[in-house]
Amino acid sequence: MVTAETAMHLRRAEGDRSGIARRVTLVLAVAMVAVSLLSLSAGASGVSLSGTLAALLRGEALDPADRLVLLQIRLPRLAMGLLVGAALAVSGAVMQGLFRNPLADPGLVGVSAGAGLGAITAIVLGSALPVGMAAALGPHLLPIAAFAGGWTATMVLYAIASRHGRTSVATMLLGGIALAALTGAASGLLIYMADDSQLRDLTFWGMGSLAGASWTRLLAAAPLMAAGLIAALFLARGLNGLALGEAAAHHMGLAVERTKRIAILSVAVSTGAAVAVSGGIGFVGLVVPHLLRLATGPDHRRLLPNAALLGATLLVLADLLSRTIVAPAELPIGIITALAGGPVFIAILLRQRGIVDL
Amino acid sequence: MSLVIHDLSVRLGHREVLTGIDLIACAGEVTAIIGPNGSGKTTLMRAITGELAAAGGLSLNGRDIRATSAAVMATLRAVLAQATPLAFPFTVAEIVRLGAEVGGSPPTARVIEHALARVDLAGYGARLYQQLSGGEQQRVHLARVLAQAGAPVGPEGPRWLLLDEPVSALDIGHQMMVMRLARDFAAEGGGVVAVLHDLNLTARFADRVLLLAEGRVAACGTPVEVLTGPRLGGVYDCALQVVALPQGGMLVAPMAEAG
Repeated sequence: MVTAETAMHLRRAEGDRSGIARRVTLVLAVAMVAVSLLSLSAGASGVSLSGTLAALLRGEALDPADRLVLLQIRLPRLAMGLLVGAALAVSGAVMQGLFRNPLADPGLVGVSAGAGLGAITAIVLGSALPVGMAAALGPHLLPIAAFAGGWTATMVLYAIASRHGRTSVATMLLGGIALAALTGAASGLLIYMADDSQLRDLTFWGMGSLAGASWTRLLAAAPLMAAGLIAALFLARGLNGLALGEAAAHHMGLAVERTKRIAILSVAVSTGAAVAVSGGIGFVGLVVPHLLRLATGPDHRRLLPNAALLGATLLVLADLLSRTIVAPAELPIGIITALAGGPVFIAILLRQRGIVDL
Repeated sequence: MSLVIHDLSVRLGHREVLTGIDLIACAGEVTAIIGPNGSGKTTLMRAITGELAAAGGLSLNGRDIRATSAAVMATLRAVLAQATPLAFPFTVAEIVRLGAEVGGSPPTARVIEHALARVDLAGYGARLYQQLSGGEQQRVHLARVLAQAGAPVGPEGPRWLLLDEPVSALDIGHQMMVMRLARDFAAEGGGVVAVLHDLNLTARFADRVLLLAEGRVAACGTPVEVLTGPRLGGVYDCALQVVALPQGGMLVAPMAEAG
């Protein structure tokens, strides 16, 4: 029984949105499960989840072909979609918190481009590695190289854009554009050097798709994305403090430098691994945190987990659309996220013009 | 228990901004730091908060400030900076809550609403910070700082409010309100160090005044000792007179322009 006193204690101050944010977490978790089941049951092969589940419940053996489709194609693809969506959305939220700016996004300011350069370098120059090393790294080479590229880009960008604990938005965006142009040039040079089989790998990688999902690729990238996501969850208090500026964060007893270092690493591993397995999927990192801040406020303790759930849900949904709209062919998922994300983002900007000075 | 500054100097780049600063600020008192623009008031404040590297002695309640972790310092003192840039659309209640969480007491609705009421912002909890006026925003941060500080005396001794120009954006009524808050905090055993521009508020509310000029101590003592017409006139480079008021206290005013 709730006594009057505990009710008083549990009451939230007017304007404290942490209660709504908790309810949103619950709704998003349910939505993620629902979309995941939908995604498992839809696809070109015509295997339906309900049919499969019914068969399992009746104790019948699963049709081997159905089993293969579910376990080797749809399940790894679903897991990949969930992880990549969560990684992209949380990276966006962390980066925006780090730069104290809602426009910071790994895709927008060159971090994804840096990760892309790492991935391309691995594809084109990976064969030049000593045989033993290449064999030892195996499928891990691509995600690790992408992480290294994303990390370097994030570090360079932070060094360019931040001075004395303040970040200039204009410098950040312009620096990001310059960085993206430079890495683009280097990537172009590598692609120019690539031979035919490498070109095929590059095209396959760069499509921005989850079509290549397999357990092998998932196992190579998932630990990195999971590490980035888990690290991000420890950043919430630090990022809340940083929202008031570095000085105020220090005054409130937060380890500012450690927060920044972990944030940069988290963004780099998550973005790097996501880019390595899915190419460039845009707008998730920009739009998801923005929508959530509008609904439940900027408190990172709720924003980060909610961004993970919403990002995962949206990407699986986008992947589902990409596989079904023109089935049996596939639309690149990047087209769908951009088509949906672009207008939403512009609408948000227009609505917020009067409130938030970007 | 006190804030002790001994022979403190601060370099920014190649320039020595503060030289040989000595100050003892006691809990239970309001200490004002005054001086012209560029005299080093904010730099001194940032050295006291531990943001800037400084040479010399610097301790709070007997602890060396530079050897104490940020987390521990946050329980000893709360800081109101001159300007606090806010990145995202927080509501007023959410900002105050961030301060309350540092203080260790649970950030209940009562704590948040009490802090807002003290700065005359009762009922503002759900408003977005960015939609407030400059003076209201300054008071929101003061409420956050008060929520962080909590009671003027904690288990580890007196707590401190370090306020850098706390009334710069406020009208005269709210200036008086904020200075009374500082007075009350000191009267209940806490310590207050405030950078002030208004010499009359300084005369009225400070127990102790540190007058800085070009990075050095020009004078330090009670308001009556420090605030004299000729001294202020020299430091501020402008003819000033200090008039004793019939009901007690004093008034600092510019001299009438000659003929």
